[in-house]
Amino acid sequence: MRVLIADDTPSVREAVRYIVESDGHDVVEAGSGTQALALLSSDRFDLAILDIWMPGRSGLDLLKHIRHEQPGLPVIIMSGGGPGASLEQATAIADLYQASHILYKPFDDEELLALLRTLTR
Amino acid sequence: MTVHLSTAQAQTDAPAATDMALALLLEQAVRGFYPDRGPDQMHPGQWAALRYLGRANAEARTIAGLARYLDITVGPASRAAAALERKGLIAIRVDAADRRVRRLDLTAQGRDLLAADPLLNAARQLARIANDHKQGLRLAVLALLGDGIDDSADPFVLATG
Repeated sequence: MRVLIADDTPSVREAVRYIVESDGHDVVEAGSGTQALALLSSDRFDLAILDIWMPGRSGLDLLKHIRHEQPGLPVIIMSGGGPGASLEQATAIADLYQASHILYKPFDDEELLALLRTLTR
Repeated sequence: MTVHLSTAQAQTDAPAATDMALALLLEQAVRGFYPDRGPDQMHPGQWAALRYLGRANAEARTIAGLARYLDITVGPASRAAAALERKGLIAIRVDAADRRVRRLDLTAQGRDLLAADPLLNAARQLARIANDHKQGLRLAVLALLGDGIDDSADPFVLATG
């Protein structure tokens, strides 16, 4: 499975990459929403794991784009605190745009692995 | 410099009566989501906390996680959790690996109450609204929340034709 991981925090990307690769999947990283959008347009993925808050294009913006362009692509939204933003509201918007799952930060390896296996079953 | 608005200018700035009426009706509709009121009843903030704890993955079910979700500081989040604990809806325990961390878990009573979440009724009412009207409502609510939705990029506009 080919997985796009988009998060503007390198340590989060690295940790998520490690977990996803340990489950036997190929990973492509994006350090910004803009980069992720370019990758989504030029490449093909089986799953996207997106940080909810990123400068420029947020994970919610990307989710809306994905639901428009590739409605069937599973999307995991990773949600943590944002700058003065309500996570309650943001996760409701992610539900509105049919995120496959919302994974609240912090999460551990097993939580992400269980989710990957559910979504790829 | 003090600027005095004329009566005509003040009237120009006032919203239309129909928009004011819509705002009032919107408020009434939202109040109706929570029919049970009173000091012993759950208030919307407590429901929000309960929903979070019913959904979040285990590692995020902490006071800090709750505070992030509700966009409040740790103090009010601790008080919200304590109130839910007093109602018997959650259990608070000290993390075995880090004693600074408080872990929050729904009790059986909390799970039962969550199954009777008043928003479920509201969602059922919304489900009865025709799709094209619901699409307008969705865009209006997102606009009110400042989400800045572009209709042309709304996947549901295409989906419903």
